[in-house]
Amino acid sequence: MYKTPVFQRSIMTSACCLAVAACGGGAGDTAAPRSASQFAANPSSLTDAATSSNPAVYNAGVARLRALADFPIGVAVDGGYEARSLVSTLAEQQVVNQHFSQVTPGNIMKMSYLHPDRNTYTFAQADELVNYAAAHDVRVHAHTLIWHSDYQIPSFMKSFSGDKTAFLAMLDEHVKTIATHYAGKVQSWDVVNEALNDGGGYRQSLFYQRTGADYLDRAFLAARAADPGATLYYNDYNIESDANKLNTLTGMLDGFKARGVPIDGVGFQMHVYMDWPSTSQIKASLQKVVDRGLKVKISELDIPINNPYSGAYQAGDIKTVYTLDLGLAQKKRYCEVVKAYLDAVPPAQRGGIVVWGESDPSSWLIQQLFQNKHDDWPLLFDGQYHDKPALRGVADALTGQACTNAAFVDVTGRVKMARSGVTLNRVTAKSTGSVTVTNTSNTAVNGPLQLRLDGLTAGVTLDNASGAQNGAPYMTLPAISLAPGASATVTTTFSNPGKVGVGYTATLISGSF
Amino acid sequence: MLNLKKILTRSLLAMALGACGSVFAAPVYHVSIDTSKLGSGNAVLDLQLGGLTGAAPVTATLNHFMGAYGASDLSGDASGSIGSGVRLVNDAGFSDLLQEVMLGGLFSFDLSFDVGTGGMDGSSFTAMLTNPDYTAILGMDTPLVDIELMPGQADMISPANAYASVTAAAVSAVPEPSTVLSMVTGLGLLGFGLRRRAR
Repeated sequence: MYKTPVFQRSIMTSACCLAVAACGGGAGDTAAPRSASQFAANPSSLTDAATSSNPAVYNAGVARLRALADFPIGVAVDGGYEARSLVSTLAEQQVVNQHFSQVTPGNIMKMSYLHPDRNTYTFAQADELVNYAAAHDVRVHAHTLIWHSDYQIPSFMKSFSGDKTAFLAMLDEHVKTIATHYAGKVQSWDVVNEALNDGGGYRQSLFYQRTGADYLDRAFLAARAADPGATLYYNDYNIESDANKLNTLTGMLDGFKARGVPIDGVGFQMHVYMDWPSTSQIKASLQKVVDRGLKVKISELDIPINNPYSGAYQAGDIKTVYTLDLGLAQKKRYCEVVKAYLDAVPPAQRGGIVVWGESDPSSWLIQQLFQNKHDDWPLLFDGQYHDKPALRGVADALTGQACTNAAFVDVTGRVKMARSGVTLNRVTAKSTGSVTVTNTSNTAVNGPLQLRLDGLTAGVTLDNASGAQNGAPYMTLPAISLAPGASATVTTTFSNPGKVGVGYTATLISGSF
Repeated sequence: MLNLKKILTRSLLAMALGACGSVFAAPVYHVSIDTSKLGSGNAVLDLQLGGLTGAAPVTATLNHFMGAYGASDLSGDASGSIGSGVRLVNDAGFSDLLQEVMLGGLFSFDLSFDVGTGGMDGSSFTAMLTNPDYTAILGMDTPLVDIELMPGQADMISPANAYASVTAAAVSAVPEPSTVLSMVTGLGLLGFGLRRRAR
């Protein structure tokens, strides 16, 4: 869903925002509704350009992102007939299976997908995805029972002729039927999505126009009754940055509490930028919900490289080529946002972190925010599903590392390195030995880990080097990261034509050169 | 003043130390290399002590050489001879004894190490067989004997192959006369005490 930051409203009005969304879904009411991710599903020329200019494949050194958190680590995915359906796209499956414990169907559990007509429910596509997830040890965060977006409101709801009571009863049935169908099969629901206006107040959606704010209470009550085991969220954007919108939210939450409305948490979509909002503002906003005893979920995280509302962008400073430096800056930002979440939200109230899409070309931002004028790279994986530094940034935050835009960090001081003796084979003129690295700190040493051999004896070369940095050979350790107390050993094989004693200083680097 | 209790205590302690002394001493290894399956002719047995430059200082002492040995060559800061004993050190990275042997027979020697302190880096003692002009390795590509000497750790010996074995050498330590006297006294006092207790 497109959203306009508060400070940029003069540039992109909410009316324009709605128009874009409506435009994009124009064909959707008669055929399968199109999604933000579908819009960007085929930007071939942009993707090709980005690919050709991509830096060398980055190794984030993250074996399994989901293993680094005891709360859900999720990603939005396609399903059903969408271009990158998780059920049928091997590359999507590999990323999810490796890194994520939860998926959010980006589109196929929205209203018109599941309930296109008054007496018609179409669960087949969503069922397929839910079943796939269950078979692969992945939970589902279902999205969403009620959403204002015009193209996603079934026609029969728009033309519903009954009074408020009848409209609410119709919504009750909608929520009850869907939530009952998925009871026990999904972990959580976005019960209502984006009910608030930018700048505060309730959005003048169809639902609000027909019922006031009552539909919110009724939706949560119906969802709880249908699926008592699911965690129920209210989900919205810009609540991490728009103080007035946040005030409306907290007022709504306080009203829920006073009336006994069964809400469990709030989803902060967190479509943020590299330079906005500040992490202190994010933390303060999260804290408002934490203070109310509710769970907090980062539900749609993405961070584009370009900010079209920034002065630099509008002055023509548009990043059209992805570079490692940009990726490293994005790594730092991802780390800071996740760290803000960890700082503000106590463990018992962490509903999880969901990234809104797998690979950069699939991001809804390219179509909806940048209108296909140029590419961008807002996610954790590139178009070939290779790691980006952003993945490292999330992992750094989850493992308590400092958030930096450094490609690598010297972690020699956190380990013990025991180097074996070196044996010279006089026939082959090879000297061999080994190095065992043991993490002596009380936190994980994140990889990829590079053992750099500084000051290697002149005339001696490391045969099994992974590369060289500033003339010093290095080896990538087989262990991706080292838990406290864990060790990794590498064999060193040197060409030693002069048959001399071998010496070097070992330095352990976390990161990629 | 004669303190019988103190003498008894010291003598029993001396006995105990005498009994346990061999346990606490640096191990002495007996290394055997069987070349009977490697044909005939000359070869070079490369006995090498190597570590990274700057590793903890190690001295390897080799003696009691047995077998059909030929000429010797020493490299690095190695010293001595197979008759009187060879001393290998790692102070220049490595040193070795390049010992000519006649293939077909059994070769053996005793080996002990003095491992100094300092740093985390270890050293390796290895034995390899090559042909006389160092163009081919005999037996196996990896060392026939490999003893890893890591500071603060037990020696790691990996001789599991058809050509070599490493066993504990027979130790014939000769006690100092005062130790012998003390041990005899201890034994006597122990017997005296037991007799008194029996009554």
